[in-house]
Amino acid sequence: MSFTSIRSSQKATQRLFDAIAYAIVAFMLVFALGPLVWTAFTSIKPEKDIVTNEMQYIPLHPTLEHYVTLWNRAGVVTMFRNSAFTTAVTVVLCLLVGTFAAYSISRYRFRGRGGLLTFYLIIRMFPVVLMLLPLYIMLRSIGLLDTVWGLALTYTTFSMPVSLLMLKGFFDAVPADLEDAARIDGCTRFGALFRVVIPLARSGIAATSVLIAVGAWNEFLFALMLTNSDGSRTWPVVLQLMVGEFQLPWGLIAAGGMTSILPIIVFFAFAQKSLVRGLMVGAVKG
Amino acid sequence: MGFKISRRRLIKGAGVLGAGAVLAACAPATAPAAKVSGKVTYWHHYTSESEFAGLKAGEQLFAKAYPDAQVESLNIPNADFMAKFTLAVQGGGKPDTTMISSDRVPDMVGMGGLVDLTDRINKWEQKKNFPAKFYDAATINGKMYGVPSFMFVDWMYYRKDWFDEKGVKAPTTLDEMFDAAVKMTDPAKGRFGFGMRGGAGGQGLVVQVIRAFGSPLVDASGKAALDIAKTTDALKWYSELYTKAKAVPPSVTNDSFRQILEAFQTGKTAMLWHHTGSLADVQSFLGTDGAKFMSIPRPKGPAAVVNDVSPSYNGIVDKKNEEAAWAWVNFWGQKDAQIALMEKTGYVPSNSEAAKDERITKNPYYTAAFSALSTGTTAPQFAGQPGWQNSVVLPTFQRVLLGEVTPAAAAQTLAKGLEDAIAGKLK
Repeated sequence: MSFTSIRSSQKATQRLFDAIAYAIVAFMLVFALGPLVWTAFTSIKPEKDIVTNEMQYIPLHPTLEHYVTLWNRAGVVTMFRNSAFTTAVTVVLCLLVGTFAAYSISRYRFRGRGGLLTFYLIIRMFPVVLMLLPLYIMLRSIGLLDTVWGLALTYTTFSMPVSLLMLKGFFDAVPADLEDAARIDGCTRFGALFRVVIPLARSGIAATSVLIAVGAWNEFLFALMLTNSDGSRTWPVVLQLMVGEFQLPWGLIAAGGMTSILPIIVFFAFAQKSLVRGLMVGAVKG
Repeated sequence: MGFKISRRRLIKGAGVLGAGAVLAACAPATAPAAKVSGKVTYWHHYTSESEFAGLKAGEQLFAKAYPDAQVESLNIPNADFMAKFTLAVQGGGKPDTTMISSDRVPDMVGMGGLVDLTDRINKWEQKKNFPAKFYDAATINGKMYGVPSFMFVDWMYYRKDWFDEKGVKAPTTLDEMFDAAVKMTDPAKGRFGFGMRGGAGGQGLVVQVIRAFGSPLVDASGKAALDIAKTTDALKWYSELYTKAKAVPPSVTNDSFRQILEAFQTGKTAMLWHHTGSLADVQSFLGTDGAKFMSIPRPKGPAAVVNDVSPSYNGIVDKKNEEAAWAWVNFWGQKDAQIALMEKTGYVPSNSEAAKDERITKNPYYTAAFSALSTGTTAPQFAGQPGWQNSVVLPTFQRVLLGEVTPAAAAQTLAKGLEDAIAGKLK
């Protein structure tokens, strides 16, 4: 067999593998994006084109009526704003407290260090539904029941362990020698933290903040149980309330779903680079 | 001393009386019995657009009748309602009033979540407008905890246009229904005679068929009393709609409420069993003019016609503003509020005065519901029933549909399961 024919055979094999790889990627894309595209199409179909005898894949009579209905529904704007507020407060609190806590656990060796980490993990081991009653009573006794601040504090409590563990991992990955060098150059401990460690771990911090934000944005159980008025309810409650006992307005629910994921998509778009880098750092660290 | 009255005074007096009569005639039927004021919180599980519209219409009427009282209502998804209610009762922060599903009354009373309304209801001028049985589900140990606000009445929808097309009469018995299902089935057109709920939630319908064939579930002492022969006949009749007549979509064992409803709405099935709660949704697809579909009472079985009636109630949870809370709760038991809700949702009023209103008497869809109200049955309640229906009745009936067991063997399984459920031994 000549060199040329071997070469062309290798190329053909390569092309075959490429085709298979692309086919797998395409399949995965369809699998991942299919529901999203389907929801987007459903949200712009009239109700009569959604529940049909024969499936209509492409919207033949596109309409924004479901978005208009959604917008006009009482309290929707307030609930959207509440979601944004609780998510922002949760992210800020988790990062603020989590950064200092994770840094101290990462850098200091003190008595009870292991126990503290275990304690944080234990919080995550309880089903949240068990925490509902004590949490409800506590929030009520301090006047934070049925407030967005109460919700944000609750979310912070349950997001903190994960953010702490994630941030600790990212801080562990920053060589202590760099910090020592900064301190020799005159930095205080805080100075070294803010000028050296945090800039180096910013990808991890971004990744952590995205995960906290997604969790807080989508949380439903606490949002329903710890609020008693539309003034403090959040977006996931709106979505759940669209599902009637005997009526299921698919178009409205799809419009609500699309509206719900929009902020997350925008957030991801901005934080994508840092997020991927942060997750990769987490993935390869020893 | 003689009593003299001048002609001028007589005319003035007559004028005042006449004006008073006119004003009285114009006053709303829901005029307040006592002056009430303040805020009333109300928890409910209305979630659909039509339910919201019905609630809003009622709230507007209430605001007219009680201008000094304000209602703050909170909707909670039905699936999470009891969790939130329990939390509020145990942890504080109870609402003043709440909607009560009949099956939740024992639990709500058990946790101390409802106020005894017996005295108030007994003195209430509207009490006479409700048959005594409507209070049954809200009565525990002789104490009444709820005012009936609307009813879910079991009935059947059928495609009138298809029946007319084939010259078939609307069925009045289960045998006629079987024949009609066969005649309506047309594989070439993708039509099936009956949308059977063989998936989630279908267990209640299986039990209704068993009752229609004459088998009791429990006896007077509360012991299992399933009649094997009658249960076998019932399961045979019901399953053969699919296994023998092929008059049911092949997806039957996966078909829950959404599937059977959408199949009927989109023209795949000719008959559907449900209750009045779905009327608005069916009408949104098939129109309100009665040309395409109509509602009729459930067909009579060999032993009985089973069309269960389940009232929904409102009750008081917190006594801190009891007068206003009672005004709100009894307001929903009155004619105008119930009709306002019905016009938006299709939910049938429980007040017999409302049934005489021409907005109902002239609406042919409600004829079936109101004829069912007089003969309406209530589903028997006994300890272990939900577990038996969910984990024995439905899976066993699905196995009959799939041809894995015979109706006779299934009846034995159901009887054994019922004994275990009542004895608390159901695994």
